[in-house]
Amino acid sequence: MKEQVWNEYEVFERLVSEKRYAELSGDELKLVNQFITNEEEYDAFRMSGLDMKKWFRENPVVGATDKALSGLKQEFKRAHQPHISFAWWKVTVGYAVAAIVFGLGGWWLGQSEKPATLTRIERVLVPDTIYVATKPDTVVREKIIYMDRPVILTTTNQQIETPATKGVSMKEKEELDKLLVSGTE
Amino acid sequence: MQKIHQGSEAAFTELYTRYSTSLLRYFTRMLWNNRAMAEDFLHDLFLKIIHNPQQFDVNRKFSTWAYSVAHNMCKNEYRKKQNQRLDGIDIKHSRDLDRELDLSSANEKLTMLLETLEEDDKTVFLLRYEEELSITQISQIVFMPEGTVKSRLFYLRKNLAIALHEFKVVLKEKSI
Repeated sequence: MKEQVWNEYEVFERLVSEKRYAELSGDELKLVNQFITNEEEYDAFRMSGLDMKKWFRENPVVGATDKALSGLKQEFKRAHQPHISFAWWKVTVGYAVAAIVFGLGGWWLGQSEKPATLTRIERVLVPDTIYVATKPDTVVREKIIYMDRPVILTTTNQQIETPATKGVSMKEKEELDKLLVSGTE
Repeated sequence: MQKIHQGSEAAFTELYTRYSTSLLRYFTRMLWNNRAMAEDFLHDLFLKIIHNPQQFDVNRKFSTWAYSVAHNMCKNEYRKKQNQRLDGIDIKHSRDLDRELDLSSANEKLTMLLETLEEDDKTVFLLRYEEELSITQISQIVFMPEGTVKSRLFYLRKNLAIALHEFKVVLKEKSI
């Protein structure tokens, strides 16, 4: 088929879908005959077009679910979130700024505090002599005399008499001696 | 797309609402009526829009660009399938023949004919007759000259018309 014939393909398509062979005008027939050879072929084209439309109508594809859309929306949100970059130069600048802020803050706090006043305590000897301007009427003198009071430290040597350490009377001693003598005989 | 690039969620929702159904339909038809796979492909396509909106050429129509991406995705899948099946072709053909014997309507015949189309032919056919895109758009999507698209469409229609016509004759003979 010649190259320029294809330029009119869309017109041919339209005619096939819209008109029967018998309804075509002279010019239209001329155009159609560049693509097909007879009426039977034209009708076959026409019928296949109708069958196609019917097929598409009878085999629809239901649209995508809302769930799919919500999933994509979440992904969209994630993709368009401002993300944090950890480039080394940014980190360095961040630390430098923080250091400057802390340094300046410390300096400012130190400036705002009043300087503490230093005091030096000195011991000064002051004479305790009282000079009386007029002669006093009465002079009361009180004198406290501290007397030594002897403290007697007594040690008591008391012994608690226990039955085991109780002594033996003379009478008992004599009796015991007698017993011993009699024992040896 | 510019609004989407700027982060407008409303613009993204609008875009999705407007194009998701037709793109899903395209994917479903192209991927052997595998709905789950078609949904995955659609999801991936919109993820590409989210993450790489800069890939979109503002001078192009969005639908052309989107179908172009979809077409490439399908092409990759066909290539993958082709590598996988290798010796499964004969089995498929014999199964198709078995099915053809049981076909009882032009609708079923058409389903079978569409299933057996080559990837490029199927794309051109669906974009033109189901999605009703212009020849110019289709040529941009499949990276083919307009003349080639037209000739492909013509011969596809012609083969389809002949196959359907013959099938109807056979059906008529059977009923008699």
